[in-house]
Amino acid sequence: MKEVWNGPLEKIDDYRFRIPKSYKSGMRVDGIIYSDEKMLRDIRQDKAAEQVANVAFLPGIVKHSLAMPDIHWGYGFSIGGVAATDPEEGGVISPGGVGYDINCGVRLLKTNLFIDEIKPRIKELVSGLFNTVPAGVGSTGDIKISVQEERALLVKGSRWAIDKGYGIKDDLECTEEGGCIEGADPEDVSDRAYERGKKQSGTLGSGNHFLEIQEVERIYDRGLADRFGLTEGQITIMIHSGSRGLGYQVCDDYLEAMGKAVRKYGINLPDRQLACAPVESEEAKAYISAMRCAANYAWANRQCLMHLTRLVFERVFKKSWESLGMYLIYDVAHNIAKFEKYEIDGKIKTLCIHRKGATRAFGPGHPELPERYKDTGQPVIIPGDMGRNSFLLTGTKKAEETFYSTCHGAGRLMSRTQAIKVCSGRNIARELEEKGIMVMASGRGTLDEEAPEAYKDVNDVVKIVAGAGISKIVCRMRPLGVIKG
Amino acid sequence: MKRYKLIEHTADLGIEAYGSTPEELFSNSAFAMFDLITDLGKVKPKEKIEVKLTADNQNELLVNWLRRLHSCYTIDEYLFARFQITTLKEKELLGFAEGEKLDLNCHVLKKEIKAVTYHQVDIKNKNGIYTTQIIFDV
Repeated sequence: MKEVWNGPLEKIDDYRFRIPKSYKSGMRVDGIIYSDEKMLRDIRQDKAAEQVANVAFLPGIVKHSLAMPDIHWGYGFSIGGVAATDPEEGGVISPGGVGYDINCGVRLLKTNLFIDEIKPRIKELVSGLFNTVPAGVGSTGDIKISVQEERALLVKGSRWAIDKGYGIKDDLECTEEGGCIEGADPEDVSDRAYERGKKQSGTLGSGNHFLEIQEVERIYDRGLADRFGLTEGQITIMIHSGSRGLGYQVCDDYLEAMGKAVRKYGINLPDRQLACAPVESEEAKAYISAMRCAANYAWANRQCLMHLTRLVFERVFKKSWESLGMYLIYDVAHNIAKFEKYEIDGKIKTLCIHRKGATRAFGPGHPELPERYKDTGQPVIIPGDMGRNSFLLTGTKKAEETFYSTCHGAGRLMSRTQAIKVCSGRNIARELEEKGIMVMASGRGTLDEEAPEAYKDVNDVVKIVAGAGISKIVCRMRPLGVIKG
Repeated sequence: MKRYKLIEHTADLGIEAYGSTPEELFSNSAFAMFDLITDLGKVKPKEKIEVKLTADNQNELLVNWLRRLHSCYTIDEYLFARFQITTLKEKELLGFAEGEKLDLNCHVLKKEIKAVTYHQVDIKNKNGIYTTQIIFDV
């Protein structure tokens, strides 16, 4: 059942298309989708563009309802959706603009290993990771924590993990928000969310989450690659995971509460999943605090996953992770709402930026960047599907037009059921092995659902954000070994 | 009559559920959710839980009924195989679910359903059959 979207998409330039606010009564601003003509055909294959128009209904929305080229159908917001609201103008926050998996994100670490050193050990490494990093449906972790400790984790994020010895201080500087967002009060997280969270810290999860050993395949910007210490043939590791059951439960709890707030504040919305409340309201304050707890949980979780990865490499290579050069390049969130300062009509405003399946991409010189990345711009990590590529990009000054946001990945093209149909009778693991990619997954259907052709080609997605000037391409990686949930 | 069928949704998992009465639609929707999570042939009706809910309308009641059962699974690790709705009004529900605690020695987990969404839930009566779509986040 394909539902093609036939609404208006006016071409602004080669990489931007507008849904005029005249399209639907109730839209407060235009929608703008970053895409090219070719990608637009895929985008029209589901109702994601309608969701871009729906987001334009949100009270206090500033400038445009935006979507990145990896846009696809989500709930309320599309995946790949970006919206800024102004709290001083009655601006709202919507859990649907963050998503269920709060602070789902990616981290990239480098090594000083090269392809020839990894190739003979790849099976050992992948099975080592598979046996050490808990993944898959209902997985629970070895890093077990008490409720009291979970509260500390929700407040401190990655700092909690560092205090436990799961990493070093330097890791914090290379994590968005230093791996800990202030204003997280565990009192705003329900007991149900605690229960779901406490068993799962240090676990990868299922679905599209993964841990990947990669090779830097192509350098696009030699100067920037040198700054990150990367060159062709070098081995990198990418970790994609989120806040697990805790984040889901926070979103679920507050979607219900926000449903009531919508009626209380008389907000006109075209979709129940866009439920929201004015940023200054009690309902919003509680959600923001709980969302921050979940975001901190996710940062701590990725920090733990990185720690486990370092241990596996130490075991296999019989060297310390430091001497293997396994340093974090950066960790980005791609499902989150943040308060950031922007100049709007000559005035500095603090706006609430929703990024749902979109990555923050601060340009060079941005005051919130750590010293080491002040002149390069923020590293942006873009995972692709398990058969093709992933990218390292940087933010640009021009990205101010998207509230310093860019794409987050390849974006799905096929539904999971469709992917299973397409892959029926095939052995995806063997197909990948023939391409030199060793994959292990715990879920029975995961490899079919996550088959490369179920996704857009991330190369096309990245070409658009680079073409539009909202990011710069540093280098491209290709997978060598993958573990999936 | 089929209890449900799978439908396409780009990122997640969708079903269309059916029932000859609204009550049956509610129990078939819950059956569908647990049928996706596990092999229901292996779940025995050892324990019975009661679910009492109020909401603003029947669509919300349906989502909340599924959310409640889903949290019994994610938090208390219960799997359910039989469902019964004894009271269903516009804003009120009383229902029961029978099942047992998850035991990985005999139960198989098929899909990780992470949340029940409000997306596209809209109960309709089509030629005497009650039906709605439900999208699960996976």
